[in-house]
Amino acid sequence: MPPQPQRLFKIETIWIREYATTYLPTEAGFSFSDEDLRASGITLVAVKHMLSRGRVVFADKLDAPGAIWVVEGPDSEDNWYRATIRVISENLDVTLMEIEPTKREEPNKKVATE
Amino acid sequence: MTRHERVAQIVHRYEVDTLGAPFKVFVLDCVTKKVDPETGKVFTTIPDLVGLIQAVVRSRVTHPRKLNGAELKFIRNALGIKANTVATFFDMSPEHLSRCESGAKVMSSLTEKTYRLMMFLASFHPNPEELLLDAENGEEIAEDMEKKVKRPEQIAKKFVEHFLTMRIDAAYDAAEELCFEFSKEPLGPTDSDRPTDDDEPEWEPKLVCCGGR
Repeated sequence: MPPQPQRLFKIETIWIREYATTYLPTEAGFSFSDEDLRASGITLVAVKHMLSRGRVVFADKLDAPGAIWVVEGPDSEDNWYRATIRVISENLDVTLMEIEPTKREEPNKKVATE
Repeated sequence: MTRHERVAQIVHRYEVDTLGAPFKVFVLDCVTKKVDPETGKVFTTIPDLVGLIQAVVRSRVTHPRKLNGAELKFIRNALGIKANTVATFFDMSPEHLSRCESGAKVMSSLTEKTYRLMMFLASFHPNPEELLLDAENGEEIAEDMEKKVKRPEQIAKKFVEHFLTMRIDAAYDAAEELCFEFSKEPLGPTDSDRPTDDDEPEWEPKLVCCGGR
């Protein structure tokens, strides 16, 4: 069986990059668990930059409102992370469910926004 | 909020200790906490995180206390600018910048003042690194700022206000920790009270002192 083409989550990638670089209205929030973030040692600044430079590698609609996306990307120091986020795009609501350091993306891998 | 979550509670004074800032940052009356019953985790919600990070940078670069290494690094990281870009822009070697950021060397007052000026300006730009690269390449940054930045006249006014009279304060009480508080005007309950895109309230900074004097 030939390998299946890798799905590129272009729209999701553009959306999350815009979200992480734009001033947002007061009612749009970014949610996270203080405890998890402190335990990981990853800062909100690093999270913001990895979301604004990263790409969505997985997306799945939830039964409840919103979707789960997995984003991989580097912060401004080129440290790579993989974040699982819950997104309710109509409310501009993003919740960080999980984040962990990951290996740098292979340079020959296709980038979603290409 | 999804149907799985309980009612959110507003925190009166929330310390953003996960920001990575080497000074204290508090947010007043607009951070909420809620429990997700599925996981039992407490989730904190911060409105306009991008705006908050920019406001923190502006507050620190306009405060006269000399920037230490950790603060230089935080400001650069907060704006998402690579060390090489900053070093090239300020005509210094990446090694020298690295030593300044680690605290092994002290940045000269003149360079620090230029650093503050540029970071203040860059904090209003949607892509601060691009601004530094364009300036380095001799491109017209004034026109670019006018196109990409909201209310450029107000920024220019603040720029002049803060920096023409600034004197960097190298002698200070180290026990006196820098603390910044930020608040945002709450939105009105009706649509007519809602600000338009242009008058969305910005983070209102306030300097408070912790410990020491």
